Amino acid sequence: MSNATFPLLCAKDLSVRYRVSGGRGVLMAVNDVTFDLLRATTLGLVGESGCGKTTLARAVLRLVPVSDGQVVFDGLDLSHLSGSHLRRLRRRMQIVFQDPLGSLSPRMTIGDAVGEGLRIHRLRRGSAIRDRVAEMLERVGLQAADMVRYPYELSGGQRQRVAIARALAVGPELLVCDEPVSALDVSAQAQILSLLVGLRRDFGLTYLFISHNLAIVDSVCDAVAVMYLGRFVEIGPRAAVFENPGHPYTRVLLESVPDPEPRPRRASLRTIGEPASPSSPPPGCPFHPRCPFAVDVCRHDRPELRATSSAPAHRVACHRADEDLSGATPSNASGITA
Amino acid sequence: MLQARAPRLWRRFRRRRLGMLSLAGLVLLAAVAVLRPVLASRLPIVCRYEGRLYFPGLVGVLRSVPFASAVVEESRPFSLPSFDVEKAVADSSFAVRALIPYDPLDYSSEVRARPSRQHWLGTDDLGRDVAARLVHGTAVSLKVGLGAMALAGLVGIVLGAWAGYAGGIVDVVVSRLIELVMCFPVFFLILAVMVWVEEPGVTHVVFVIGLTAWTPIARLMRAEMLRLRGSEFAVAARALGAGPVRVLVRHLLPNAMAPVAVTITFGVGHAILIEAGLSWLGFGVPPPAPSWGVMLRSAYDQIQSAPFLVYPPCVAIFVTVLMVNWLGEAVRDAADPRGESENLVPG
Amino acid sequence: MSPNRHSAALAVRDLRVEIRTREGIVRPVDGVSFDIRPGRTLGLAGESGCGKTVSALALMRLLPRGQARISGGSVLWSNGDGESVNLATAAEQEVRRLRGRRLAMIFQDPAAALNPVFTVGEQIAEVSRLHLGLSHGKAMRRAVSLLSRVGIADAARRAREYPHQFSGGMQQRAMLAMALAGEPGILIADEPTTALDVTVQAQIVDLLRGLQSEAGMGMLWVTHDLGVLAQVADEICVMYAGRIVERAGTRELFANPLHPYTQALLACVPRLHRPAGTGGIPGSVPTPAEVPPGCRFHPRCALSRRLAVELDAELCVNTQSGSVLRRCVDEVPALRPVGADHWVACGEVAS
Ligand SMILES: Nc1ncnc2c1ncn2[C@@H]1O[C@H](COP(=O)(O)OP(=O)(O)OP(=O)(O)O)[C@@H](O)[C@H]1O
Ligand SMILES: Nc1ncnc2c1ncn2[C@@H]1O[C@H](COP(=O)(O)OP(=O)(O)OP(=O)(O)O)[C@@H](O)[C@H]1O
Ligand code: SF4
Ligand SMILES: [Mg+2]
Ligand SMILES: [Mg+2]
Repeated sequence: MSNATFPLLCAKDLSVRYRVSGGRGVLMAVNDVTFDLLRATTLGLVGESGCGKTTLARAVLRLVPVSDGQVVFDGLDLSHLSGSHLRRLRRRMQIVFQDPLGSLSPRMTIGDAVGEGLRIHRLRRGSAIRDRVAEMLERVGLQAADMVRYPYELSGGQRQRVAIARALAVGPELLVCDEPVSALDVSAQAQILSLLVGLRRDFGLTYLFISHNLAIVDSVCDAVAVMYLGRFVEIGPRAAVFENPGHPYTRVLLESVPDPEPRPRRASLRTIGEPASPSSPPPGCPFHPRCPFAVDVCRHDRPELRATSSAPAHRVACHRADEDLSGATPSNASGITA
Repeated sequence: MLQARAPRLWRRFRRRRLGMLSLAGLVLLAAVAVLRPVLASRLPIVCRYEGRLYFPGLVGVLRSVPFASAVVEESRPFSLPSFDVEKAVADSSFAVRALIPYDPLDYSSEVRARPSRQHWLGTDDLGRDVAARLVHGTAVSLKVGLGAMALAGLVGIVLGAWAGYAGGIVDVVVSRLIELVMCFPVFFLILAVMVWVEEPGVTHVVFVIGLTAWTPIARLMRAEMLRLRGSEFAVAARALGAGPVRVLVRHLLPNAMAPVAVTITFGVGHAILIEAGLSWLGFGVPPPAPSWGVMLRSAYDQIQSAPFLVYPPCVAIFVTVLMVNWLGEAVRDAADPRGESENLVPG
Repeated sequence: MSPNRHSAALAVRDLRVEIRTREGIVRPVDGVSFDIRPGRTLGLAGESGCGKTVSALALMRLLPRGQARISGGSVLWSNGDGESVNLATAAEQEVRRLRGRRLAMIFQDPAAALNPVFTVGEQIAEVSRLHLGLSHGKAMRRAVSLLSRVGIADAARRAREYPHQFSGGMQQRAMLAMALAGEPGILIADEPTTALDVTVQAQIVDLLRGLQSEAGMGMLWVTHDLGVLAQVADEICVMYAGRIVERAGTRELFANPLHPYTQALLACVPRLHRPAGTGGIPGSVPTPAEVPPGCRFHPRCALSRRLAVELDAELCVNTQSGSVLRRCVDEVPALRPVGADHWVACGEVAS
């Protein structure tokens, strides 16, 4: 089944609801998300803080209960899998958590943490576990001697690398990376990214890659999905999305990337209005209260993801996606402020 | 690397002076309990009698090992009720007496004698040697204190962890059970059970205390589990493919044990005292048998006439409880790789 | 926030930290000096594991007790009215009095630093109750307004939620709100925006800048992200293996980086539309247990290696990592001024 065009992971109409205290009661953290992830490719996931990226990442691995829709991994529908079957499958799909300290057991040494998957799935025995752990630690830029240390003894970046080593140790096919390098300095970032890219090239690893750093997404991803208030608002090949962003939110994101040069920000980089609350999303297009191009239809009808005229694989959920908005005057008073 | 965990714990534990001291003290107490027939007994340890060598003390030690009485013969003449030990020893050409040459049940006319060369800690209202009773009471009190709390700890940890981790109906059932047991007047529950049992003995006391004292442990454990259950490292373990048992045992329990261990050690003292109360009422250890609780109770009633009787059981209980608590704290600290950790939240 | 102006400053001189580990005593921070001035932001940058967090914790006297200690130097806090305290040696009580109110800290791992059993609102309110003496109701209202100031929508409801119901970036902002609740004169922020996307990050930067000009808050901004420092810092210290190797005004540092380490670091910053770097700086930060002699950067230094090729063989020495200048191995370079407001710890650059 290692057909290259056969998607390794499909999510279909995936929704995750959380119950919230008070108010209307539910929060749609992920809403009707559909995507395919081909083998040996990387899908980048970007979006505002709190828009549901982590929830989506956990939902595709069934680490949070899925409210609606299905996830199919290598032809297996995860929602119908029994507990033990799912546990066995976990060897093939791993995740690097966003919070490295929180995701490591405080009373377990680094060596135990990285070796745990090997023990659970009986991939190695006895001293072979040690060897594999040492190998993995060295690959992520730590030392074999760090095995006996505890998470609290490491720096933030070192913990992050432990988390990556732990996920890679069991030899997964799908790796979900939730901000895998945001705790790392640029040098270590480059090192980890080239490790990940190398694994994709050599072993055909597939990634779902969450990052708020667009420059990194730009350099490692084949496709990019932009999320806003729990929904995909744009998805497409990297080049198409980055060079020809169809959704106004994507444009704002791209324009706000800080240059590593100390010069004053451009006016449009200022905050774009109040953030919206996922527990009471606005009607119509979820982005309309902050969108500089919103027109009447945006306030009433929610735009569906539609292919753009330029590239069929590039889909955008915006009523005005096919218009040329570069010269358009912002029509929304609460939009971009100076 | 599971094998490597125990030595690591031990290495960190060893650095803790109080912990090591307490451990040594408790081992010593246990030794006293086991060796009581050679420490305090009318019977000599070794004695040549009528040309033969007898080892009544040592035989006594061996016989206290469970099931050994079937194998080890008693030192025949010495165990006969009518045998005059004093005379035999006096006649003997070779005899080594126990450190305290009295039985805990030996009555004498010397009642409430103050501590002296003969009776190191004096004698009680029936003329029994207090030192001998103290030594023999060690076994009972340790059995009750440690045994009951080991049982309570086991029940409390298992039920509390299960309830906290599984949640749902399990949690509801266990929580109600905890409330039920907690609301029940424990002492009377124990009394009821002890009356109901035909021949109450130390084991019954252990079971009854153990099966009622687990509630605070279970409650604490449940709360800790609720706190840790949602933590990211538990999710991370699940993501790695760990089943519920592994998540619980390898990831959550080690982090929940610290406060629970301390609660258990505090329970030890409590159990010893409950046993005292029970024994006093005649429902614990059968009356003439010595236990610290029995001694304390009877000393209490004569505090006017013989105040010195209070100190030995008091000090024994106090020191034991203290050592168990220190041991618990040392184990807790050793289990925390951070050593004495500090709360990092500002303010 | 009330516009009471702060003029607190923190002068750190020759700070050293010792940690007891299995390999013996190590010094992850070894002679660090800098100043946090009122209304200004000092950036502390450097690779992972170079000692940034340990320095920050040392300033707050929050190093793991019994294992780590400040072994030298001074941390002089002064409030502009002539009151000053040396935090390195002050009694624990004295430090506690300052913490939260005068000096606040944002921790690198927000999820681990928030208490899971209290709501976020309660935790933020607790700080202003403790330090500003507000009533419960007032403190709660303030907590809500702080949450919305850090860009959390629907703050009134969010304040009643528990930390695990927050996303990573929201937890980070909750920590920030908590740190700001005591209206501190000095804020030590350890990677305060790593989990934030560009738009929210810009919002936070604006908020903090506003507080600085309004209330004169001084800030130490610890991060590995030079891109962020370019936006927020007035002055930057670049740290390597427990020492500061270069210190300069932000503009100056970006325009004219002198230390070979700073240059290498800047070269790896990923930019949009430019393929991610060269694979990073070759080699890795030495662990505190095995710092190289002389200039700690010499095993990875491109300048030293290049000069070793150009210069006489007798000025050079062969090491495991190739031929480098003898001076770099033998001499510990001190931080020396090379221009107005620009200091470098490199023997070659300074001469
Ligand atoms: N366990 C939970 N219970 C209730 N609500 C939750 C829970 N986890 C997340 N949420 C909410 O769901 C929404 C999406 O959260 P999620 O963690 O997926 O965001 P994110 O995109 O990963 O953000 P960030 O970039 O800040 O990490 C947020 O509004 C968050 O408050
Ligand atoms: N409690 C400790 N015990 C032993 N070593 C420690 C301890 N805390 C930190 N270290 C070590 O000290 C060095 C500096 O750590 P620090 O946390 O200050 O790094 P950092 O500069 O903050 O890095 P990052 O950017 O990755 O957070 C690291 O090598 C780390 O392993
Ligand atoms: S649909 Fe309308 S409101 Fe939504 S992004 Fe497009 S233009 Fe803006
Ligand atoms: Mg997240
Ligand atoms: Mg750090």
